[in-house]
Amino acid sequence: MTVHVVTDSTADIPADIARELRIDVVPLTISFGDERYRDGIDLTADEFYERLALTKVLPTTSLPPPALFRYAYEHLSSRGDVVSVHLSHKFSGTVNTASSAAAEVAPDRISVVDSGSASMGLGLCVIAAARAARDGASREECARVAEETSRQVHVAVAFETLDFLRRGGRIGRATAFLGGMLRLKPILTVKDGETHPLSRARSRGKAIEELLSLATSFEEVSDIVVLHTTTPEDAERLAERARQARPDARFVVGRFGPVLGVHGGPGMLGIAVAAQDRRDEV
Amino acid sequence: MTTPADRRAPAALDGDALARAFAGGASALEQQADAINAINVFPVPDGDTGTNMSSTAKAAANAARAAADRGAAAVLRAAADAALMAAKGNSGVILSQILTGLAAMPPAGTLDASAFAAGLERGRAAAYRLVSAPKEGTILTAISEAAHAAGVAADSGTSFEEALAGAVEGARSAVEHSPELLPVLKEAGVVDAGAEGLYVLLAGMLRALRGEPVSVAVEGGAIDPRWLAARQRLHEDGAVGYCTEFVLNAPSLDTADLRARLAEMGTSLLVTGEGAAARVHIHTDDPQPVFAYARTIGDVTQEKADDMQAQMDALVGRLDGAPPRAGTKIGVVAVAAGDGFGELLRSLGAVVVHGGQTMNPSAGEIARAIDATGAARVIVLPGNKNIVLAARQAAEAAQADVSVVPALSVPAGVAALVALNAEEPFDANVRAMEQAVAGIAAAEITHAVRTTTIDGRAIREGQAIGIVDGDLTVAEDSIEAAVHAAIGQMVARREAPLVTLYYGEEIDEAQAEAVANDIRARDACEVEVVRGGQPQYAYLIGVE
Repeated sequence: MTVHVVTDSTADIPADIARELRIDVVPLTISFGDERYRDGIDLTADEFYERLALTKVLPTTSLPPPALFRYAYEHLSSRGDVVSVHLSHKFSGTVNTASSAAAEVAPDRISVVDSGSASMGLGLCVIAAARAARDGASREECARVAEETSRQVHVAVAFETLDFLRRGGRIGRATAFLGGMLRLKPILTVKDGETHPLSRARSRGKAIEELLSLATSFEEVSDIVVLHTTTPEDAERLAERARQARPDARFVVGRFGPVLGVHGGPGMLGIAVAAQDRRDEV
Repeated sequence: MTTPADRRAPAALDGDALARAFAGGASALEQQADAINAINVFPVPDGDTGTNMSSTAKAAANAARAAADRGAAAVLRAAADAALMAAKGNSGVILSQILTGLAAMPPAGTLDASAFAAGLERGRAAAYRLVSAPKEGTILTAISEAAHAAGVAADSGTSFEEALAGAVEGARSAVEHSPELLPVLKEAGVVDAGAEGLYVLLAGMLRALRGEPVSVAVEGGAIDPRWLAARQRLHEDGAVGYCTEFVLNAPSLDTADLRARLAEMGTSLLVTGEGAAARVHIHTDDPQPVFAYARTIGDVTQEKADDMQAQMDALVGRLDGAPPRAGTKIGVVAVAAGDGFGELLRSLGAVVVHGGQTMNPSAGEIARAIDATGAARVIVLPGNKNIVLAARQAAEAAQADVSVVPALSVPAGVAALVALNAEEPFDANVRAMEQAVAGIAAAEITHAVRTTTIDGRAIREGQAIGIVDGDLTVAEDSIEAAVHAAIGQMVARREAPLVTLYYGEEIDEAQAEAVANDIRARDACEVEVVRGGQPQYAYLIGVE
């Protein structure tokens, strides 16, 4: 039976890949004051960052209305099984909304998976599940692939500042990296659904080197994702270096969506790798 | 029980006599501290050997007096324990190790010649073990010679006093020969300060036992002790402004006229000397016009100007750390001079002990800072090679589990703190910090305070010099040129170097920014300008 893969718009999967792998993306909501937009549908990432540069009021984000999940699940479960993979419950109530919608619509045909990650960490789990679905795997197998991938995904994100993360209440254990008089570039990771401090770099160049080391510190890397909010050249530079180090890996280079952009701020640059083994401790 | 006859020529010392001897030695060192400080071997004002040894000896003498009625072994133990905690600077720490060697005697009420000689020998061994690359012509040679001479005397069955006299003579001979063993001393025309300190201490002890005045003439010291004594008195009432000193050489010097002119420029004026040279001391709010005036008369050398308010502030607020944070797993103690550095290091989570090249904190101060972190496991960043031994000593004394990460410059200490990640285990942090320290080059830019030759390189007084990773490799005519030369050496072979320019108290932000812009243009590297506020060094530079 066909398995449909669903995620939310925080997975930051580029539209062409979502189309190719038939991934259904449920949008979160972006609000500029009273104006509300569906992430990626009414407002693309590029439009969002243009708008962000001009606005005085910081936008807010909210999880998808339950009706959107119900609608997607009703529509898809009538034509097959569903695996729905989402942002860590520690960051957002999205996965809980998805679970309750699934329970209402068709509990025995829909598997909801908490990826324990966000953005491209989540994206890699979704893509892995979608590939399995395309290759004819069952719902249980696709869910298992998503869960397995979530354990193989390693993320490192360099910030220009932690102010946006702090204001959004998403700073978690990285509070120790706040403050200081040097222009430090904090580098965080996502572990067990929470942000954790990884290291601090003294300059942008050193931060990019740190991110690159994530791509080179494993025996086998199947996928690499590089995302940015406002620095496409840095993303290209990092991706190019990673390609040289990992010519066999599949690459996705793109932009953080508005939800991550609001919480990370300008200059955020991240890398996620799906790796089978650790080469050495990072 | 001692009789008056024993007191004159005791075969062995009891606790009381030993405490008296320590008091005499400490007092002699205190009197000569400035003279010992003055014999710098390096063109930067590095000289606090006398002060450091004196404060260490004084702590030992005080503890000895308190234990005087408990017998010789107890007196030595008390003196050694106090010295270990009070030890400042390399020479102070070495002195504390010598005392520890002496104290390791079998329990006995008195100290005789052979026990004394054996103790000095243990002290010698401990001192050599302490120093990773022992150099002869230093305090190490002085303790060797002293121990050897005491041993020879003891073997011929002499009294304690004769063994001590042997030790004094051994130390004196080591001082005298130090310039032959250490070329840098010969180049600078001085004897070794640490060796001198040990000699003064031993000679003071001997004089106290003999009932003679303890003041010991300093070997090879060129400064009139009356001058030093007069200057000392002037400093006793808390002064503000700059304590300014220099030596003026002119063919025909009218000291009366000089005195009259200088009297208008400041207070606490002191002019000594005859004929062609005068030594001047004056307290003034602005030393530059004083130097400028002196240069119109003749050749000015050995100039120095110390900010007395800053010195006092430093004394009052030396241990000025962040309040202990409950539940902190890993504490960090960093030693640095300068308010900018203090603020920066605290913002990175360190408890800061004020100190540096010329202001070495004691092992006790560092140990208190370790306690102040409130952490069970603490990393100490000494920030200067002269503080490593005191830091190690503090590490041993502290309750906490302590690692000293060899950050030998404050920029290296900053790099180490940036690598700190409280989420990671202690050992991983120590490794990360060691890696950060190994990956940074550091330079110190300052003015040479005297004309001298270092490593065959002639340096004129007043020239801007750069010390890159501990070696003096830059001598230029301006601070800016020295900065560029030092950075040129440090950025070579580095990928995408980041330069951090920490500007000192004598530099303002606009000057530092201008230098930074030049570096960006010349060396095509990222430059961050940070206020260090450090004394003496116009710039401290980190390249990573």
